[in-house]
Amino acid sequence: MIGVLICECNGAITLDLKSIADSLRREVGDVEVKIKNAVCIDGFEEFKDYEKLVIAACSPQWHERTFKNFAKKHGIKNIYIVNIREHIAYVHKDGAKKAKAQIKAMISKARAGENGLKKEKPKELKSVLIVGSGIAGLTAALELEKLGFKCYIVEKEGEIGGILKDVPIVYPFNKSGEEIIREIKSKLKNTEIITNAEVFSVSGSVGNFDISVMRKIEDLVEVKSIKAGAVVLATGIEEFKPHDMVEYGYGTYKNVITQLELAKMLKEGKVDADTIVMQLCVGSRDEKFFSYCSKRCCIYSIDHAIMLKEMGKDVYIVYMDIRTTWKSEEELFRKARELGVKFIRGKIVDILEENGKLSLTLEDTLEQKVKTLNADMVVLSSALKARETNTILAQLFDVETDSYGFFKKFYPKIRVVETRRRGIYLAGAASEPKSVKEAILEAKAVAKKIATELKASFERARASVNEDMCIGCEICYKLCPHRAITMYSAGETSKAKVSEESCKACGTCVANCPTGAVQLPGFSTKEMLAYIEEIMKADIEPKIATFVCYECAYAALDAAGMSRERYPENYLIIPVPCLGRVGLLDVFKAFESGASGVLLVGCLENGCHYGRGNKNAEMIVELTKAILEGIGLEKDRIDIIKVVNADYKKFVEKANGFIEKIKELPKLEVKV
Amino acid sequence: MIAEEVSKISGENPFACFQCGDCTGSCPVSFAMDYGPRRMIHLIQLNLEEEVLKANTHWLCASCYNCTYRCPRNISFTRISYALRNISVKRGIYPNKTTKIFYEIFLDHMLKYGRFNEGIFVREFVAKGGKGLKELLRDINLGLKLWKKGKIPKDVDKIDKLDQIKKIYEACVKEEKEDKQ
Amino acid sequence: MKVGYYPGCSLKGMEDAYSISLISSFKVLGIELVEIEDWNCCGASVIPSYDYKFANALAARNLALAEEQNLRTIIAPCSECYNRLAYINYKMKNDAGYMEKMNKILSEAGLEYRGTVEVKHAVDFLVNDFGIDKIKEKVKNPINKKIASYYGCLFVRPREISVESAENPKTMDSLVEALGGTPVDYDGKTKCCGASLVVSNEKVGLQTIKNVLDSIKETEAEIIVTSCPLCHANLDTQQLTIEKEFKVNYMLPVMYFTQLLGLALGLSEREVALNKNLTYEVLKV
Repeated sequence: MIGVLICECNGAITLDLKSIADSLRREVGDVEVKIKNAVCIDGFEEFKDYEKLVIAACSPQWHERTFKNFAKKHGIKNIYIVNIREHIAYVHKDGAKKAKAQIKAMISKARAGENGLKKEKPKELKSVLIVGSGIAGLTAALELEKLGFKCYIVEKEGEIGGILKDVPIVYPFNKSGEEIIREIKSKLKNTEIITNAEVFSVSGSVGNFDISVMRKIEDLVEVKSIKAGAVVLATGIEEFKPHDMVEYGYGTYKNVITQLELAKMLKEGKVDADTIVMQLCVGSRDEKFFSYCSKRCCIYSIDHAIMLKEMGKDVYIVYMDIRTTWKSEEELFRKARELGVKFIRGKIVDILEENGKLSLTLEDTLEQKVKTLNADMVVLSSALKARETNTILAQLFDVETDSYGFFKKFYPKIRVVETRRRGIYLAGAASEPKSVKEAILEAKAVAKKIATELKASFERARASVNEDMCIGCEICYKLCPHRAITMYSAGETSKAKVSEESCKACGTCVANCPTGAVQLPGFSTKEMLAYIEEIMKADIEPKIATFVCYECAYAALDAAGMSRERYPENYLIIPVPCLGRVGLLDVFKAFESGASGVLLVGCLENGCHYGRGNKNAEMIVELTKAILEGIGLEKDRIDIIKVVNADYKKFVEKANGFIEKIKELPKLEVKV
Repeated sequence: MIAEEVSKISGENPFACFQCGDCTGSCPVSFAMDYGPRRMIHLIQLNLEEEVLKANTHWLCASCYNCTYRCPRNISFTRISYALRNISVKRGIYPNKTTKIFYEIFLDHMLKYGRFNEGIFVREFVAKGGKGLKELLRDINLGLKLWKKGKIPKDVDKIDKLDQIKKIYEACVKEEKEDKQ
Repeated sequence: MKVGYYPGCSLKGMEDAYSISLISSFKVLGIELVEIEDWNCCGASVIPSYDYKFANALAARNLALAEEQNLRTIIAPCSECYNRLAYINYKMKNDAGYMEKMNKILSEAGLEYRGTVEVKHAVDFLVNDFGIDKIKEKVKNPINKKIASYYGCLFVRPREISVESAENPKTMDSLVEALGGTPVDYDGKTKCCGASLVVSNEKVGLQTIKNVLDSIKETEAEIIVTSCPLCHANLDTQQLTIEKEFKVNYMLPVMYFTQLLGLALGLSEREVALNKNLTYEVLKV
């Protein structure tokens, strides 16, 4: 017996719930249907000890966790949420037919499924390898130690401290970089720092990595094997040396230097020049070099300008924009101005040297005049760029880098210290230029993240392979965005295997497996097909099968509901964890069962929460179009749209347009 | 909207500019311009059509591509200049009589010969009043020298398939009209 | 060795000295130039000012003709022509939408361009494709003089089609060296000569030419070599006007790199049309 609970939501769900309940009782066998107000407050004790319960209520975004807690309390093993509020009542004038179909489909799915959630075992290994000994790496080690981890720090230089060790003063600490580094290092108790060393091989997965480190001792090379449960990439940044920007004469003129080179001079307290001109944004915010803002140059240039001013120098800062975002930084900017540092808005276009004096040409864009400045020294606040070794590390650890060589965060807003691989994490400027403050924050965050992941004991779904059905085609192995699938040899063929630790349950493997050997509980072939077949029985024409990913797309539909944007009820929702879970089988099952059109709704181009599910889906759409054309049908029956929740109007617009196109096409007759 | 027109013709997006001044600083003729390239782009961004078209900036552009080479936002003011000249010419605005005569003869040669005939050009240019008396007197000597050195060609250089040039021109004019509608 | 050749109007008109010396000196090196049949004017800087689209289509017609005549590589000795042809070639090859647009216009004239042609500047071809070493072998009369190579704008800009770095180009200097000369370094190698301004705004145009001549004069160079008829006309023909207008005295002989090349390879002054330069007489002083 499957339980069905429909929530009234204090009258917010303006559907004829009673008649929906009645027809469910009439049309579906072996169910217990109840209507109740405010399920989120009262729970559902009346369904105590049910194996499966379908709850038709608001979006799971609001109360999935609440419902799960109630389910635990009442001894209910599985709950299935149907969103009849944001996706139906709020957006359709008469959504009863659709609501009924969606609930029935979820019942079919519940019936087809079995409890596939598995408990994750805590990992035994309590050690972490950290690449890089800058502020992020050292802080991560300190925090991890507090949580009971043993740490290994691998540093490729002979000295620790990364880029920070050369900085004469670090705001807002008012200490030199060297001091800060020394302080943290002195607190480390259970961390082994290996300098002059580089990682050269990696195997294993989260909880159990085997890593070889090569260490240079004079002319000898020592190889060290380290076992680690997790890895933190904290490689930091380096300064761009602008030799290619010939207009500045860097490398030719001895008194044209970079900001970090000035930092070293200031550290030693000796700057041999009276008039100093700094140029900001050298190589940064320049599409020919690094189109991003390096973020820290404004502030440390101002720091240095103040120091120079206090030494009695004449200082100019040539800038395009000054970006001092924190309140303490703005105070510093004010101080520099009050001290008489001259700020000129513009960009140096040419530097010439004559008798040791530099003459600079630029347009002062506030004075609106091209003019010449004379200086003894020009300091270039050069872009901060990714470490060149990142590319090699990315290969070794099987994670991704962006076009600049920075490590890619798993999701830029909410998963900033994770990579696509479980067990490999990021901290500090390895993913983009950061302040010391932010690097410390991330280092602390990464320590907590590692602690939860290695100690995890929660239930979650993971894909697994039926060895007998696997034909070793390697499709899943190639498509898995998380590198959770490995191939192993089994006699004459090879077979796929899912690493339970690494699987993030997106379902891409299931959608594309030609034999159905790999399955994901909750979204198995059986469950999906049962759901699709049932929902296509809806008494609505034409029917559009709408695959919606549970991330941005689902949220966008929710947002449309919250804003009461209307769109036709012909869109029958088929939720998937990620668009990667949509395969040819699912699409054609929808057509076969009566869909006139298919719409895939997923995250933005580079916003897929699982890496590249939306790209795989695009491929499925192209293939479907080709097949439709091949069998004499219209290729416009399928389309894909990528949205983010804030831009729900894009979906509504698409929904209103797509249906018109579908209505123009002849009715689809499928002979089975 | 001037900004849109400029974009359409040149393929450049003036709105991407963040006003760093690299262009004006590196422009070899900015000293003679009413506004340097940077200010000009700012005026375009604000759609101040009258100010933009009144300026001599785009007419003075020497097409040296210095600004284009330096621009951190990959915008070409050189191509924007071309677009502004296109827009001006269509409205009958020229910076001076000389330019008007020069352009008209050049286009005429293009359609009549498919090539630019420098020998004929000099004659036509002088005949139409492209040079003031003072310059003319100054240049007589130079003209004679050129002629003596055989640098002024006598024959007309003309291509065979002139109709192709005409058809291409007509196609461009037609597209332009369709765009307007 | 055969290579496609787009002479351009200037080389057929007042600056035929460039084409005469190009053909004769390349012949000594065993390079035969195959002129694109029925080529049209590239539009220079005037037609783009008048109608940008038409100008681009004119350039595209030349590419289509070269493709039709199976010319895989074409050299354009004039930097302005090179700029127009190479940029449109780049744009069409790299932007499918643009390719389609241009071909729509070309189709009105029964033409099509598929993007199989490579456009090269004559200097680039000579130095980087033919090769400095092969030239060195054939030098008979080394030119033992201090020589300033003037590159101008369109040889190095815009970036998409620049032959080499705009900040400090070396191609012509390496040629000068191979021919026995001593290259001089100066600031204005790629400063604008003001080409298109000389007609439309003479005052500003002459000032920009003067800036270039001033920076060369400082180097004590004995000869200026050019690789563009417009630069050449400005530095050579207009040198006299500037001397008069600004009351200065340069006495700087200007010649095409092909003339220098021809002389070094043993050709006579006549064979490279050296006397056509207005500063020819200065050379004799």
